Amino acid sequence: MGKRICGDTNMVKAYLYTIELMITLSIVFLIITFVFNAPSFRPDFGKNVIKKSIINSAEYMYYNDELRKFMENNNESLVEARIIQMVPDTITIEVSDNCDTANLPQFLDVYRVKYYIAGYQERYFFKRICISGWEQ
Amino acid sequence: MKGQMFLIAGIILLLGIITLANIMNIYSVFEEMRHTEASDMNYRVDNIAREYEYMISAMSSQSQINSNNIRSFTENITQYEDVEIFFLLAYANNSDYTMWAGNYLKDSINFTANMSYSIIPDWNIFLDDKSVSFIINNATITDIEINISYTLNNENEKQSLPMRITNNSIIGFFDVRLNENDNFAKKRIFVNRTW
Repeated sequence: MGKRICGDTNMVKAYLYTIELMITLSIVFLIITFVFNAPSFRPDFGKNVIKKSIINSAEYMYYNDELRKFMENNNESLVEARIIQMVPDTITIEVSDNCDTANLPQFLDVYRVKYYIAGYQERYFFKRICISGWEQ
Repeated sequence: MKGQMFLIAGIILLLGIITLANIMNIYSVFEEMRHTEASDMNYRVDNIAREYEYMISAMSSQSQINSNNIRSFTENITQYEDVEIFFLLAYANNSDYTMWAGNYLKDSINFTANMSYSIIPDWNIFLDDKSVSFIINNATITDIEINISYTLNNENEKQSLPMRITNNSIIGFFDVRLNENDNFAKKRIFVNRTW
């Protein structure tokens, strides 16, 4: 009988260990799910999105020679209007042919892409154009 | 006691996983930033290289061919960007051809060109930074090959450029390296136009 009592106690202990182990594993899996469900901090991709939007729209204008054509006549306002059509509404665009910073906001993150133009059709000229953008 | 050990092991495991999760998030942010920076430099070096290509195309429709526009553009670019540029330009008309070599590599270079089937077969010059040199040559057959070599960042660069000199033709070779902080983007282009 004494042996049986001892055996029962061991069995109860074994059950308890198994239950504890299963509870621990459940907690571990629950926390894994919780931790990997959402990043612990929100990465700031906003600035990269702005920059990428400006680059993509400027590339489009550059490769179909619109940028070249507009810059031949120093028509920055046309470049600006075309870029505004292509970027999200939340982004404000400023185009400058001498890359000055006078009209840029002082307290916001401004992203800027630069292009060089060496002429249009047969005419040679050198132009530097800066397209700046920031979130409103 | 054994049960408590499982719990302690579980807590250690959890701490490890949480730390890993944080590291993985930081990695993805760095990756994204690096990707954007790299694409930023790529579009800029592509822009400069494409302008050279555009100028070569424009030159093919002009009556007087010289290196002035290429030179002017290169000098303007070096004012605004940290760039190292080497270019070779060759223009052929009947059996005569003229070659220009331009060094904007921030250092003087030894430049060598070997031209097949040409009256002057070798052109070896010492080119100062921000300088352009030229040679007028004559070939005995229509298709020639120009093999050039120069040193850029202690590396001996070699390039073989085919050229046809029966009709009016122009070739341009441009080696552009854009530097920014510790990063750089490099592009070599060869443009060939015949008319």
